[in-house]
Amino acid sequence: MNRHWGSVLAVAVVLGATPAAAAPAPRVSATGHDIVTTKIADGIYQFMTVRDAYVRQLNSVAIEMQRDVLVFDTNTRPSTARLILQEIRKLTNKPVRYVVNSHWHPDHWSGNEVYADSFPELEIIATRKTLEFMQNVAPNWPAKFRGELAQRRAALEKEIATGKQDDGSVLTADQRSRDEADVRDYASFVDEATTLRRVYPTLTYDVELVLEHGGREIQLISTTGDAEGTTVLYLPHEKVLVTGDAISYPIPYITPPPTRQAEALGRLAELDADIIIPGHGPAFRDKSFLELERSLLVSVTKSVREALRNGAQTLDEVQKSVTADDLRVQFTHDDPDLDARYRDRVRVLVKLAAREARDGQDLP
Amino acid sequence: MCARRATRLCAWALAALSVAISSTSCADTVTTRQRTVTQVANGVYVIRHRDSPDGNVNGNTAVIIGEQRVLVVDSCFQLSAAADDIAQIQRWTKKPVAFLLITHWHNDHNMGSGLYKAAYPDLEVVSHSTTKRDMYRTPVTPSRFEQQIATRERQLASGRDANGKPLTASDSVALRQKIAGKKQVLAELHDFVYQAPTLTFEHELDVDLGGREVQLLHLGRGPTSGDAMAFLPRERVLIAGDLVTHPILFTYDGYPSEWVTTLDRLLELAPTTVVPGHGEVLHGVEYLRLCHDYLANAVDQVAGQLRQQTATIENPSLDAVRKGVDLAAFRARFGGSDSDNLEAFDDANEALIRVVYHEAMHNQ
Repeated sequence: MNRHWGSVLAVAVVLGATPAAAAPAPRVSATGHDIVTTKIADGIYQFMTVRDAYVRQLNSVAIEMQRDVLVFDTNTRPSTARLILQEIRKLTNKPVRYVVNSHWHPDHWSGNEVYADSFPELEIIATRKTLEFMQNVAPNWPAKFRGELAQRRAALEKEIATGKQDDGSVLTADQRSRDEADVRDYASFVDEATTLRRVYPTLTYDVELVLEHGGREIQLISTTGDAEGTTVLYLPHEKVLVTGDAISYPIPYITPPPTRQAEALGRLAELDADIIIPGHGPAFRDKSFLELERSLLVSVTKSVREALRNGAQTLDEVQKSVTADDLRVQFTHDDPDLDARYRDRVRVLVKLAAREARDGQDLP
Repeated sequence: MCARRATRLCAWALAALSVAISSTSCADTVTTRQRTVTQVANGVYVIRHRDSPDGNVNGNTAVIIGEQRVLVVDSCFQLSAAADDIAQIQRWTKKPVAFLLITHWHNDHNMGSGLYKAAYPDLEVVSHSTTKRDMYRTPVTPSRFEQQIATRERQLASGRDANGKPLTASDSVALRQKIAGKKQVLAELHDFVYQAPTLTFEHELDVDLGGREVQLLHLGRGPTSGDAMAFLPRERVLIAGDLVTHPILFTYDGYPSEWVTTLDRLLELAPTTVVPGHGEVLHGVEYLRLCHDYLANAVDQVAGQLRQQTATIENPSLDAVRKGVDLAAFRARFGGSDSDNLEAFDDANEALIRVVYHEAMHNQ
C-alpha cells in the first residue's frame, strides 16, 4: 500500500535548494495531518498539507491584502481547511474575502464551507467550466468514496489474512500498522466527505479575471491543468505564480488531451514569475520543474504519434515502446516507489496521448 | 398621453409611493426632466435620472438585490444623482452593494463610482478589460469643466461664438444657462474621486447574489470596444448599457458592423425586458430589433455605395456616399412625431453614416 511516502519527503529534502524559502517544522494536527507553513513573500503564505487521506503535499495559499485575505484552494475536507484557517488567523485577523477554487477535483475545494460559514461576505471564484464540472461530478462522490473505502478495507484484510502485501512481499508489523493507520485516515476522510456541505463558486468567469484589490493586482487565468478550466493565479508585481494542478510534484497529474496541457504549460512558462507554487509540492524558485513536466508531455505525445505511424496495433504495444525513461530519474531520483508511480503515470499518459492522436478512439 | 404630463404624473406617484411600477410604455423623449424609478422584477429596479444641469445626460442605473448582496449597473454622471441612488438603495435594503458593473467608459455611466466605493468599502467595480483602459485614458477632471466655463465666459464677454459669429440675444441666454449649469456640475465635481474598475473580465462573469444569478456579458463591440451588459437568466431581464438607447440610438461612435452582430447575440438571449442605457424600460424585443435593423441597413447601404462608387472613383468621399444612403424609413420609427426626437434622430443618423463610412474605409 502506501509505502513510498517516507521516501517522497526525503526527496523533498534532497531538493532543498528548490523550495522558495526554508520551511519551518511541520505543525501536526489533531488528526495527524502535518501542515507546513512557508512565507513566500510579504503577505503571501503557502500551507502545505503533507498528507491527508489519498493526497500528499497539497497546497493552499493565502494572500493578504490591505483589508482582507484571498485563499487559493480549500483542501480535501473541512477539518483540514479549518486547520489552515487557524494558521491564517495566527498571521492576520483580517477576514477572508475571496476563495479561489483552482479546479473541480475534490482535494481543492472540499473545505469551501469553512470559509463560507466564517465570512458572510465571501466570494468564491472559479471558471464557469469548473463550476459546471463540480455540479456534474460532486453528487457522485459519496458513493465513489464509500466504494473506495470498501476496496481499501478488503485489501487490508487480505494482506492481514495472507501475511503478504499485494506485490508478494512479507507484511511486516510496521507496515501493517502503517496500512491500518492509512485505512483509518481514509475512513475518517470518507466520513467527512460524505457529510460535508458542498459550497459552490459564486463568481465564475471564462477567460481571465483581473482583480485589483487591497493594493494588489491579482490575475486569474483559465488554462488546462490536470482538469479543463483550471484557474492559475498570477501576481505580476510580486512575480508569483500559483498553478493549481497545472503543475504538480513529484509526479505530474495528467488530463486529456495532453497536448492542451503541454500548450498551457508553454504559456505559463512565458509569465514573468520568480516563484511558482504548484498544486502539490514545494514552491519552486525557477521554472525547471515546469519545463520538466512540459517535456514529459511533449516527448510522450510525440513518441506515441511515431509509434502509431509505425504501425503499433495495441495500446500495450505503444505503452511498451513509449516509457519516457530518459526523463524518469529527473522526477524520481531513482526512488523505487516513485519509479513505480512514474511508470504507472506514463502508461496513463500514453493511453491519453494515443486517444487524442486517434481523435478520441482508444486502441484495442 | 403627452410625455411631459406623464412624467409629472410619474413624479407625483413617486412622491406618494417612492417606487412607481410602470408597465405601459408612453412616448419617450430624448430629454429627461424627472427622476423615475421602475421595478422590472422582484428586487430589480431601474432608476432613470433627470438630465444634468449642463445639459449632459445621465445614464440609467439598475439595482439588482439578491438574498445576500446587491449588484448595481452604472453609476451615472452627476454625483448628486448617484448619491440619491445610494440613499434610495439603502432604503430598499441593508444588504451591501458588492458589485458595480460599469457598462462602458462614457462618463455619463461611471462618474458616481467613487461614491459607491465610499459607501460600500468592500465593493468591486467590474468592467470589461478595455473599458478600464479607456476610462483611464479619458479621465474627467474638474479642470476640464473649468476650461469649458472659461471658454464660454470669454464668448459671452466678446459677444462672439467659437467661430467668431456674433451672438444673438437668445444665443447669449442659452450660453448663460449653459455656464450656470456647468458651474453647478463643477461644484459637485470638487468631491469627485476617480474610481477605476477593480475587477475586469473578457467575455463573461457570472455572479451569484444569493438565490439570484446575474450574468455579466461582453458579447462583442458596439458603441465602444468594451460594452458589457447584465442579464438575469431567470427573469429574462437584459440591462443593455448603450448598446440600446431609447428613443434614439446614440450612434456617434463605435463599431457599427460589429454592433449589428452583437445585437444579434442580445436577441438570442430572448429577453422579455430590455433596460436601455438611456430612456425608458422596454418590454419585448421590438425596439432591440429596430436598432438592429437600422444599424444593419446603414452598414449595408454604405457598403453598397462604396462598391458602386469605387468602380469609377478610387476613394469615394463621405459626402458622395452619404448622397446614396437613405435611412428615412427609420426616422418616424425612432422619432415618432416629437420634434425634439426627430431632430435628435437626424443628428445621430448623420453621425452614423460618417461612423459607418470610416469603419468601412478603415476595413478596406
